[in-house]
Amino acid sequence: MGRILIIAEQFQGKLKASAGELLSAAQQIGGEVDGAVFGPGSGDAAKELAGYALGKVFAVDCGCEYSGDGFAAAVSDAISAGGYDFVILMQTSTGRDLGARLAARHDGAWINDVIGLEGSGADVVARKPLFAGKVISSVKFSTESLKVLSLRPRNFDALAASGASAPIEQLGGGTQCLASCTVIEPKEAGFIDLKDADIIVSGGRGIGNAEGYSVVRDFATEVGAAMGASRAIVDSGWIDHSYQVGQTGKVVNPQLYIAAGISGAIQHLAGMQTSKVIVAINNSESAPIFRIADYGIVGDMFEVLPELARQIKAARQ
Amino acid sequence: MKIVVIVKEVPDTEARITISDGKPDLNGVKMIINPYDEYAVEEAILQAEKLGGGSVTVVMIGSDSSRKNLTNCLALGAEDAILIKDDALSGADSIQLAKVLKAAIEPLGADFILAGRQGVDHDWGLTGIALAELLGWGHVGLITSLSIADGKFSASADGDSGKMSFAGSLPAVFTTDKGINEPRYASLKGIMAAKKKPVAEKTLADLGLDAATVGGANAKVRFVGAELPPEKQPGRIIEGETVEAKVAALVDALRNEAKVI
Repeated sequence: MGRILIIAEQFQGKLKASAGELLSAAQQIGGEVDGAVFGPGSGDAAKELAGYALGKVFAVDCGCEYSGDGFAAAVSDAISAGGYDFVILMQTSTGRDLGARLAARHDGAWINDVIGLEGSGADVVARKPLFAGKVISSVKFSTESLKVLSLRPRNFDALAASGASAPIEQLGGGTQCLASCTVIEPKEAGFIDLKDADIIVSGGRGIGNAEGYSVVRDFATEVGAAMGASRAIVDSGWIDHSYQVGQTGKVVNPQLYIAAGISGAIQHLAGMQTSKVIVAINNSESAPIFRIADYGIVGDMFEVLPELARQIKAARQ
Repeated sequence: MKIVVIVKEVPDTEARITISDGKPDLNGVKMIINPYDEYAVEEAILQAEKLGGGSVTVVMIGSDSSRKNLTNCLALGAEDAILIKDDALSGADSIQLAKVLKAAIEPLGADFILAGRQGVDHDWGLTGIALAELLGWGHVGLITSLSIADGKFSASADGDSGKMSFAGSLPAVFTTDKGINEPRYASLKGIMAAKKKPVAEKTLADLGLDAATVGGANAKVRFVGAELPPEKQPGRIIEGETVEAKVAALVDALRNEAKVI
């Protein structure tokens, strides 16, 4: 059996629940599992992580919020000394970055954005979308060196902490960081990340102009949804790129995706077609989005969205 | 100031991809410069303009048919280009490609390297970061702004928890996210000038590399299959006399049929 290191995430000392997804993937591969968590606040988060039935937990603090080279350097000796075969992280802005750095540092291999695993040990086959999801590929490792996997969020059943306790080892003191992030400005209060969202509402050209996006924003606030956008309105400068869903934006996987005033270009569909339920609202009944929507309403999004928010809130009471 | 940009070709994002023989079939699919790399090219040219007297070299691993897209990068304002082509690279993994790029780029004495955050084909997002690691340089991924002064940089990136501000010293690698700039179109003057700009072709042997090490036959990651995602069945259009009635029927379906609210 192999040895596996899961690298969990934390923000301001609080462990992210995706730790349970990492453990789930580790158990699928099989082997002895240790954990690591990085950054300021890693001490507190490591105590939480220690509750996940792990052999031991590394708390790594290099004196900055994030550094690809620094974090990799800080944990590299422990990876070699511990004889780890696998490192598993989340496919997030920092997880994808650190995973790539670690794979290269150990002259190993990297499979990212994993949505499923079959088999176990070194023969494990990972399912990974290509072309933003237009194709689902099966990928294998062919190496004795370090194998690094990053998991697309919300694709593995998150295991709960078992309450067991693992020893914690501190790492990172004295690490030289070549490129370091010292400040993270938290998003506005109430902001829901597209990747974490159960409900997403996205606006397209149907909003008419930049001001029209307020109908999407209002819906999101009322219902507690994350906000998305089509490439068309990002390219028109109506909304920031961080909201874009699709092939050159974010790939999302919510329970409910509401596409309002979006025609449904193939690069947009690639980013949201794995949503559990898709609702399309468009005033043109020939819009291609209706071909992949579970439910469609032909109508004016400026009338439908506020009414939908009102009725969803009423239904929840 | 010497700036190197890494670019690659990918299928047009509007293209529908089919599968044949267990692999994505790209026959007849139009190839474009990776959209994220266009931001890298634009950022390199902007930085060269800002820094005054900077020169930009574009490096691509590709084939003979890549020349057109590569020439377009020159038309935008890059000085020269290197086209690495070798049949042995077919199937090579991203870390192998980073080793090839290192061999090509190291002699150029670059102050910094720009690359797109990921190719929108296989979506690895690994090559630029691996190159930084192999060179022993720092890197910042997913940058949405960059400023360079006195051998130091500051950059910001859209992190999942918020906007991240980075700092460090050159040399370094930066991978660009959408939103960092607005890529320009080539001018007629640029297009004419590009015809005279040098494109150096290199094979693995030219770079002093062994195909047995960096070639696809030695890849540590291998594709063993590919399929199209299950086709989403069209659902139903919700009818109703009024907006209220349609929405009521929708909410009922979401609550009792789909069970998502």
